[in-house]
Amino acid sequence: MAKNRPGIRFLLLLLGISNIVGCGHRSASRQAGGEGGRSDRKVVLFAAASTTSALEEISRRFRREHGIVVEANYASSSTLAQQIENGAGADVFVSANENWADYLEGMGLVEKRQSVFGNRLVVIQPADAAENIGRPQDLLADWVKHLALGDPEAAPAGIYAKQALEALGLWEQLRRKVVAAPDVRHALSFVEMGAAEAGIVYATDAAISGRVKVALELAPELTDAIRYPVVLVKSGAENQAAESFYQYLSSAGAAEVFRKHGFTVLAAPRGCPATPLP
Amino acid sequence: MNLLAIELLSPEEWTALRLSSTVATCAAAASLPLGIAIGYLLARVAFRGRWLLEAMVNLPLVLPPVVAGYLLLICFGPRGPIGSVLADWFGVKIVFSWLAAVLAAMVVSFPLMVRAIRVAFQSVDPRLEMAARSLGASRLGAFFTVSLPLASRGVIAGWILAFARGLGEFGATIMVAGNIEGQTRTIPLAIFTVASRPGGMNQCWRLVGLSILLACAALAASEWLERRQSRHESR
Amino acid sequence: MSLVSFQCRHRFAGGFELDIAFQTDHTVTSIFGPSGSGKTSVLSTIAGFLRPQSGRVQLADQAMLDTARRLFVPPERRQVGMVFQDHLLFPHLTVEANLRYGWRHRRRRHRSIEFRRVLEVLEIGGLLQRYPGSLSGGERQRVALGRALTSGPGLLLMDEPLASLDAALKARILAYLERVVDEWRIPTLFVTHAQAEVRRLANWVVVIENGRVVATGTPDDALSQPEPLGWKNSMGPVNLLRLERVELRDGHAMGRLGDQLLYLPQRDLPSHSPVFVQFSPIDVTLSRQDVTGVSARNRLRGRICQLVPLDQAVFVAVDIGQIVWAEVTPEAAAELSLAPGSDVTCLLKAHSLRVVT
Repeated sequence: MAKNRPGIRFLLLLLGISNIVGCGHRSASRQAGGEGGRSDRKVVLFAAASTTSALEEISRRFRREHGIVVEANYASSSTLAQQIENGAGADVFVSANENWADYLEGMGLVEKRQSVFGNRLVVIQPADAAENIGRPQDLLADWVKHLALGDPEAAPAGIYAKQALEALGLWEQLRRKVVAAPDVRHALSFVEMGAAEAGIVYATDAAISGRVKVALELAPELTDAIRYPVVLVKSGAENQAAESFYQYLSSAGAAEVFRKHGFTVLAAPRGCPATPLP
Repeated sequence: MNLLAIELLSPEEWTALRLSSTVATCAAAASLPLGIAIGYLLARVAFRGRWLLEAMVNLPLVLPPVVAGYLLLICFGPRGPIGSVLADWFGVKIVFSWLAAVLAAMVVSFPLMVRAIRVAFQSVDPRLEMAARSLGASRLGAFFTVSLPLASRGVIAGWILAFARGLGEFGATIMVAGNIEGQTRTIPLAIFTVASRPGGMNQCWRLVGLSILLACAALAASEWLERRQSRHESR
Repeated sequence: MSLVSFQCRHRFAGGFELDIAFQTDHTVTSIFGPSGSGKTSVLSTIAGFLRPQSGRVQLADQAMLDTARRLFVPPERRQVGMVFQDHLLFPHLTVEANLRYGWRHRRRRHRSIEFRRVLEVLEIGGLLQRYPGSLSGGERQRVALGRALTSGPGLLLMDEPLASLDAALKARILAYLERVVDEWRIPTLFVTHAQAEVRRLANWVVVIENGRVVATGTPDDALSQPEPLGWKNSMGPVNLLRLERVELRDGHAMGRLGDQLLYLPQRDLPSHSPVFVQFSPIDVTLSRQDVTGVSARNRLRGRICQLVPLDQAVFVAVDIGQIVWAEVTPEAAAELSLAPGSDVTCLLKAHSLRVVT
């Protein structure tokens, strides 16, 4: 028994470590593993967490109209991009940030690309917060102990939020209060629960929650244009259903749903060439 | 030595190392007294409702860590039952602080510690305490001078296991302590953060190596302690 | 004022019931009975580890337990030293630390037993720096005895102290126990199922069977009663003779019993004294006449003092200066007209004797 113990302990430690590192890869391998026998009547969609409700509704409409099932995986754009890079079998990728689409394009994984809709950043507080934040500078107050953002290094919502705060000259002072949530939906939850006194999320996220209130909207000029590139991934190029869905996303019906959920619809024509917009 | 060390790791990696070590040590140390008490209780005393205590202790073992973190957040958040008391009476906010990281590590590693300690006490003859008491030792005295020293091997093993588990804790930590650079970004969180950046997977090897090094150090320490222990006993 | 006054009634989970009451003011009292009779529970109650449903325990002038008055003194305050069957020495402490364990916990005025003297009497001075794990069985039991003594107890409790030792060791440790009794005269209560131990050590015996007291008295009296001892389970009396002197005659060891001599089965003198010889009643042949021309070396003359007829055998107690029990068939007893007061000769083969020291 004494001889076995170090072995067992080491095993436990390895499992613990693999837990950390493998968290992003699990769904990737699951996806890659279950590839055999994929029918063309199905679309595999990877989409940024902040587009969940809008795309779910669009997927339902699509299914009603075309009879094709859309299987969606919603997570932070960074995680999804890395999964695609590692061979997850996605057909269509909707990113919350041009960077991740650029990244995949750099790897030659992009078949087609278009920008269909956009978003705005808002500062939110718990719905029953006593004090209100009138201007971005109020975030510096002592009573705002924590500011929840999507990860400013990786999640698009976080990257934009950091950009905005830098443009306002507030980033350096605020960075020690920043709670980097795994994705923007978590950031929203933290504010809903009152764990964080304030947060910066997309207007669309704030809209779906009844337990937060929008304190103020951050001016669009503070950041790069917040656009959601829609990508037809190379591995979905042969999939007729995927092509169909890709086109559907820039249809009038889809635009209606986007607006309804609080997104801004871009006037970009259908089927843009696969070069990133400035 | 200092200059060399600085070159080995970046500042944010140093911070992660410092945080991880502090959190894991504090978590293991803080759970030790309770771990010993509960381990002893479960090993020796039969009482009604014992099954309930066992279930509660083992729960974090089977619960996904993220769920455990979520429950802790609900409980200790400013609107939760315990968190609101802490906020109103003491003005203390525990979530999103390094204390919350300690809490998360404590909760997930507690069942492992109790398990090891309980086994240790089960292997100590309860009649030895009887002998001690017949010689004039109080209940507590007999526990500290006889049972605890004899169980020390298992207690230490439990401590080390808890320490190692605390080092690797991610899911619960990110939920209740958040990922705040410089304050709660422990090594696992730092690895996750670095890996989430574009091309970041290749950057985190130093932190991964550090994790493994710490785990090996914990193992080595436990082996050394065990060997020292057995030199003192002649069985 | 008795040294130990004990009364206890308790029903165990398995259904076993204990209903025992006795008093003793003798220095060494034995609690005797077959396994499972409840003897250990008596010690546990006296020591304070068993809390009976109803009972009273008084040691000298101090009440330790009185369920009627809800009085319960915890074990650590009872000043009772215990020697267990499995020594129960602390394996993580040296012999010296074990011995000093009780010493530390005692109040000053009870330290009447000198530490060094204990080492001398039990001959354990050379073992002080060793660990229990490296000691032999006999050494461990001596250290256990020493540990109970150094705690300066008002009462010494021993639970089958010799049971886990082999025959040769038993005799040697028994000698140490006698030394301890002689040296300090601490009131002692010891539990055993071996008659030889009772006869050697005890001044008084309480016989227990099935959770009840069936006899009390001096060893000779109490152990002479057939019923309670379950002689029907062939646990009959054991003969134990104490020899005053052992001499060497014609190359043979001879023991002196009053004016009679006993041939011993060895050719050299036993090194220890006093010398005891043990033998079974079944090895004793009785004769109404003087006998010659038989191979049995020993012929002891005496007078029958008691007859105990059982189903298959008759036990005859013969007084030859000490009591010797013989087991004969009922027919033989009738044929020889054995009756109390008759003079008989006990024939005993030298090789039936076992010398125990």
